[in-house]
Amino acid sequence: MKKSISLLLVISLIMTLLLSSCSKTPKEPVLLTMWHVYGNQTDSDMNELVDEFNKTVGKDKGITIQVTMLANSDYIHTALVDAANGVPGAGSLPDIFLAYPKTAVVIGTDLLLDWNEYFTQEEMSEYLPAFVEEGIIDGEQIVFPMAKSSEVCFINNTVFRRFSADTGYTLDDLLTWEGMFEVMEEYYNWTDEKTPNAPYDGKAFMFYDSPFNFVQFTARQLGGSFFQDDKIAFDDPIAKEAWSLWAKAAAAGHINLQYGYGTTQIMTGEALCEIGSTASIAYFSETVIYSDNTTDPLEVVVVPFPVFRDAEKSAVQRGTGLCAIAGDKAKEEAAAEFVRWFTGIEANTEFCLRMGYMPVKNAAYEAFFAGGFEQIEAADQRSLFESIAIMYRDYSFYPSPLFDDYGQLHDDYVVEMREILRPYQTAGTIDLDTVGNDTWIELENRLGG
Amino acid sequence: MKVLAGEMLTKNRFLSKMSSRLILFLIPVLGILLTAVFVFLNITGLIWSVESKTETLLNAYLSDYSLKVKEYFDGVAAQSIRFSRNVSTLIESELEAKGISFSNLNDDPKGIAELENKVYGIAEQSLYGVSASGVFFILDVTANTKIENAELNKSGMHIKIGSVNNPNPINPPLYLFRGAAELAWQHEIIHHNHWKPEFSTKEYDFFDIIKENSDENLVKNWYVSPVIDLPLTWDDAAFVAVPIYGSDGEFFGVCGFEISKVFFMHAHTLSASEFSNISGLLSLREEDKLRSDKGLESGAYGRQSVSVSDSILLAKPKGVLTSYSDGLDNFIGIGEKIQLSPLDGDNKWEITVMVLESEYNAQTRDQRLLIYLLLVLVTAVSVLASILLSIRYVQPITAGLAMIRKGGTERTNIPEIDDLLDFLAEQDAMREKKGIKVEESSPVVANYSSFMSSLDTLTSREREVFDCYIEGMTAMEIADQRNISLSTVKFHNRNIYTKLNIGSRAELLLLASMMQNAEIQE
Repeated sequence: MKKSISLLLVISLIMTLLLSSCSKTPKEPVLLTMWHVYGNQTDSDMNELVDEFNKTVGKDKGITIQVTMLANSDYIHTALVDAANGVPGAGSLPDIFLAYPKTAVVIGTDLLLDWNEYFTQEEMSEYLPAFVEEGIIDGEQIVFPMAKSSEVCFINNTVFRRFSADTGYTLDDLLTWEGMFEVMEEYYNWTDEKTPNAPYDGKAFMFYDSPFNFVQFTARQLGGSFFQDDKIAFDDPIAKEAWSLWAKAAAAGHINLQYGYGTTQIMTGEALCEIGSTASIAYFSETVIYSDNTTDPLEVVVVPFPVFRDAEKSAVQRGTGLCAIAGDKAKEEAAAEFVRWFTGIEANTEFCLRMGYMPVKNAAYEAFFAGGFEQIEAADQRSLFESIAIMYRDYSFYPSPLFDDYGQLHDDYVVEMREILRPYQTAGTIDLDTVGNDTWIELENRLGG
Repeated sequence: MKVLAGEMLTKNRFLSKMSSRLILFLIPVLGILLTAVFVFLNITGLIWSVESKTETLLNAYLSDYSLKVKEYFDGVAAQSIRFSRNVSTLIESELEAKGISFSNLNDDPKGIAELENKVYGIAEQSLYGVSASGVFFILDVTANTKIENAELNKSGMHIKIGSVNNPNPINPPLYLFRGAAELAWQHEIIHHNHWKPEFSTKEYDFFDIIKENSDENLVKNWYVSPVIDLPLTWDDAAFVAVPIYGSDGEFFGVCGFEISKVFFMHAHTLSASEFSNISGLLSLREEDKLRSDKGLESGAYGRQSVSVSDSILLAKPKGVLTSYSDGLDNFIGIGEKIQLSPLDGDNKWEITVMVLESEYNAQTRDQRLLIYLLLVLVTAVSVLASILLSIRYVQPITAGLAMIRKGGTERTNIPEIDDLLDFLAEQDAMREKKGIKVEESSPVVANYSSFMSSLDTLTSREREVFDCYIEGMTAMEIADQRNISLSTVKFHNRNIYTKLNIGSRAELLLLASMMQNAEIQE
């Protein structure tokens, strides 16, 4: 009797197990939406790598990453902040996104994953300490380094050769700020002289993608700081000097103050030099297109970020990192899986070479610079990496400061700077001796509160 | 042979037992139960219609998806027609203000840029009024008629929204993909990295299709272009395009909206609780191929969103459904033709919903397995229940009978057994009454002492058989238990009867009973 009951129980148990196992659905696929900055609206090497991940590791582990926004970091910053604050029409936050630490601070780090939950200390020690540290906020690894960049000068060498032949200035003159300002003035005059009947219509030589960086890093090279606590140091003479250098050149028309990016200014013939992220290399076309639809060939050459003579060689450490929304364990694990794959030596090196970045792991980084760049076919890319190699041998790198209102201050500065200086560019004759002081006071009036 | 005979006897004995018989009687009941379950599964369609259930589901999703897609394109076309009329009015007023004809804009980059700048506001507002990833207008003039391939160049403007996942933020990022450079500076939008000032009709090939149709009735002259591989961009797009005609019938150009693949995927999600990997596809049919590279998709799970640009699906009928393969994965789905616009012409649009074949197979396999396991479970439980019931039912009866055999008279609460007890008591009473009570002086009783004294004369084998009889076993049971033949048992019987001087089995049992009673009393 007892045997029969036991048998019945065993059979029931087996059947229950069988039934429950057969009704169990396969592991649910994990879909990660992603916003990133690599490639903007062009054919994106990042998208290709995401595809590769989806088809290989992702397919094996049931992870699909879908890029749902590809924009510059400024727009992604705004979109993330809007989404986090529930602004109407902003939609929901993506599962993973590329952003600067300032963005993570604004949207709130409590929303974001601490990567240390998925990466051991030993694993983190494989990454360059400076890159890792930049992403640590309040002791948590909120921003994971994916690829890093700095700022360099991109020159339309097709036109610069003609300019050089006429004036004697060379690319070497662009290595110092002193030389850069001379070249800017000379280029304006050189272009102005081409239309003798139209005075003051010379062209701007330079376009700076992140003009806020100019004052920060020239102040640093001059031995001071552009900030005092979390505000602009309006009482600091070095900060004022940094601003004055910019203001005079911009007011005189030597710096292009249009909206947008330097790559476009170069490609439309509106500027000859762009100071911008090393990653800008991916966005140049092979021609300059003028408004009448005619074109000129465009040969881009790259020189290191300028420094003042006898000053410390320093430049910005740029490059967004990856953040992930915390809370869904399956998505967190999937995000960590992607990070491991993407920052692996092979994928990371390939990506960096294609997009103009530097790899983030010690081993990849050392190998990256050890071999030279002769194997790179494209002359502009080869020129870029040769400049980067010089900078990483001789320069110190500093990320932008991280205080709560940095992002807002950055945006306000760019808007106000343009508003203050643009009128000078169309004013005909101006008194350059007073521009620096006058505009510094005006800037303080607008931002000093 | 002897063993075989023994086995048969054992089997017969087993089958003749009351509990075994009860089990056999219960089997037809089990059969009826299983038949009922089977009929239920058939009536509810659970067992045979796994495929048709999937077909019904996919058909329902297809109808819904098809209706939504059709309504969507009609809506975009309506907005395109409004946009076209507004652009036409603005062009005419601009031309009138300048006192020039439309063709005078040729070789006038500044004039074209001014016109584009005027239209920009309408274009941007129209874009916000429709669900699309971009807006464009192409004018039938060029800034430079003297350069190579100038006949392919057309001025105009193409603005793309950068946030394809979400086209309706308050301030979406806008990119100038085509149009005068100063448009971006004036309106503070970003130049697309592969911006150009003009269109090439080689890329935007629908321009010529609409121009050649030369029908001023915009309602009958709108077109949905297959997806165009926009050079150097990652988000290939289809276009809804309508002509722009002046009030006098002059052809000014084409305008409308861009619908990128990624945008469409997000704007038309397709999900189903029954399938985790369902995809919707709007593609061009070319014989047995579906050109998904020329079409749009919904549902991000089954097929990769961005990697399908070079994907062509091979379609093969599979029963009532269709099997699709893109070289990487196989899908099962269902599709139908759909007309998107009046100018579809050679574009044979087909709309399809599909699921990953592996998921489909797993689901049908799981359903069948579930049903079969249920049947097995019902059978096993029924058989066990029959066994348990039989044992519980028969055990009190056999216990009662054993008690009677040992001379007990205890009531059992089983009416039939109690009736038997009553009957036996009555029989005893009647015998007593008729004087046939077993007396000590009866021959049997007289024989008892000789019986007892003769017991020692039995051989050990005979004593074993004798003991079995005392335990109440039949000859057949003794043969079975001792693993000897029935004739051997009978041989021993004869010896036992002779040695104990008894004439029948009844006498043997009576004497044995007397012997046991005497033992108990002692």
